[in-house]
Amino acid sequence: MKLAFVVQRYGLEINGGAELHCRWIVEHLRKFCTVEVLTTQAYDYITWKNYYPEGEEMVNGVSVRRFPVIRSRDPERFGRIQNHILDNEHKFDEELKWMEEEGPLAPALIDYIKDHEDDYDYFIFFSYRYYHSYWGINALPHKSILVPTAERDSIIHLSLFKDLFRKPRAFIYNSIEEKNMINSLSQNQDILGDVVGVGTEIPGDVSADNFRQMYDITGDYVIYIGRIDLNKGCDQLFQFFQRYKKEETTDVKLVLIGSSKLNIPAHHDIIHLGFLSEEDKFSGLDGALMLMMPSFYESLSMVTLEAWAMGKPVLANSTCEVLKGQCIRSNAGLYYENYFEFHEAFRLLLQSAQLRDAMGKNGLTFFKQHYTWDVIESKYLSILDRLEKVQ
Amino acid sequence: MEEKNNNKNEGIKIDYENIDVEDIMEQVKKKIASQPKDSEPERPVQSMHPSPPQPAGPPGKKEKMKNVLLKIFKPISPLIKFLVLPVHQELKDTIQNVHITNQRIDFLETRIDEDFSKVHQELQAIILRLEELNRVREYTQLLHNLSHNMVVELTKLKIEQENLKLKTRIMEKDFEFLGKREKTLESKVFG
Repeated sequence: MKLAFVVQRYGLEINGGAELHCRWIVEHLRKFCTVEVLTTQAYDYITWKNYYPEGEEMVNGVSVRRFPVIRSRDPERFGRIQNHILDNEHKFDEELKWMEEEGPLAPALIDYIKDHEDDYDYFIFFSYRYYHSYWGINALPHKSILVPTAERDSIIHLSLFKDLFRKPRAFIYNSIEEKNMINSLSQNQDILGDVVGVGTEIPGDVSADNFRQMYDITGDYVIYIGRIDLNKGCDQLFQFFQRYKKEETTDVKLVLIGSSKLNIPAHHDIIHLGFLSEEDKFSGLDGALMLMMPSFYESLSMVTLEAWAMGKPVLANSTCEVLKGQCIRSNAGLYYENYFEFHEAFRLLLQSAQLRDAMGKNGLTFFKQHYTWDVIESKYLSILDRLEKVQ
Repeated sequence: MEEKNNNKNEGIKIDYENIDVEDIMEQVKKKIASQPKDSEPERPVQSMHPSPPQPAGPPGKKEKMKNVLLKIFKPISPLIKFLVLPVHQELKDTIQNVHITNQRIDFLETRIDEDFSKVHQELQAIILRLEELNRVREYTQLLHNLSHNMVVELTKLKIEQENLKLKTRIMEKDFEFLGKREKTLESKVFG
């Protein structure tokens, strides 16, 4: 069986979101099938400017075909168009125009998919909201599998997606909440779909002591891992953490790992370490009391799964249905909607080591049941097998 | 094992063997709801006992003089009090406050008017949209009636067509019969 994975960006330098999710799935499925990646030359997810060379190259033993982006995205223009279609009544053509602006505008990629239909058994598209998924699935719906990686944002309500969600042969969802949302939006329950997600691997040499020594961190700390961004709820986390520190006597520190797009408050207990290697990231997680997950929108928080894989509890923002659902299903994390809930939940977790241990164990069990690579691989293969049988 | 940790968890019951996150969060929410929203900072407690009165000494010359002056100025004492005590300043401050409050009320009134006019405009727009919607609904109703009538007419035409087909078949048979009859007569006349 030959599979083509179609994704907006692909490369070892891209270390988050749907792109990393796609790369990990590709690298694990190559044991079972012939896999190839069809993507663009883009690296920057804001402008989609061509960065990688055009043509075919090997990335970690996987063949990757890159197609040029013919027009970079102008964020200002895109913002204007998006605001217009979100705030006003509009025509379908305007939604198509939005899709063109959303990009990455790589028509050669779509032409390649159309011309090489017979070379592949299935095309697995990642991220529903981009140009490649919309036109790729419309070109070959009978050979398409969609991994939507959808969050509950306004864009999903556009009418073009309602139609799109009824077209692929199968869906691979990240969470039950994502599946329910897409089912209710497009009434596509009749299309084959399974909740799968993505696995993770813990590096061999993880050491909390080394991490503390290397970054000069003493005492108890909680950790946030990911892009430090307004959209990720970091601003609210900083406010809540500082207010908590004012109201309660505690030495706990907040350690931040990830690149920042936000002004981090100058507080002696908020420590920003920047972007770290996988080993250091897991070492940091190993020494932390818990993971803070303040994001409002997530289709699947990979770092939450990593925390559970390390046996650490999570304090999540319950505005994000997926995070709340995962906490409830795993019984491995508390959640908050406002400061008062944050205060109580944070205090409970900080003060009770027994609660943290019990939740950490639950997280590890949940992770082993649903998110080890064996489980993920077998779920993908099962979907492909069911599609073959239906054919 | 159900443990109630009053010191640390402050009334939140947690079964550590079977953690139920939903239950914990429910208890947390109930606890928050039962707490007063604005807890005022504690103030230092003031003594409830008044300080003991100082023992009064024997009246001297100064005291006598003071009493005489007080008697003389008694009729104009309210005026003196008004000028000497900070009543005048307080009055000025109060008037200033009232003035500012009036200004604020004026500003709010203007704003309310503006808001009202905005709401009014929006209501007008909604009414217009509703009228448009009604027109569209009526138009849809007309289209519905039209399509219904067309179905009826088409059904009638279909029945008519069937009748005509039947008549054609009868006429064909008649024509066939007449042809046969013609042939028979010809054979009898010329045979």
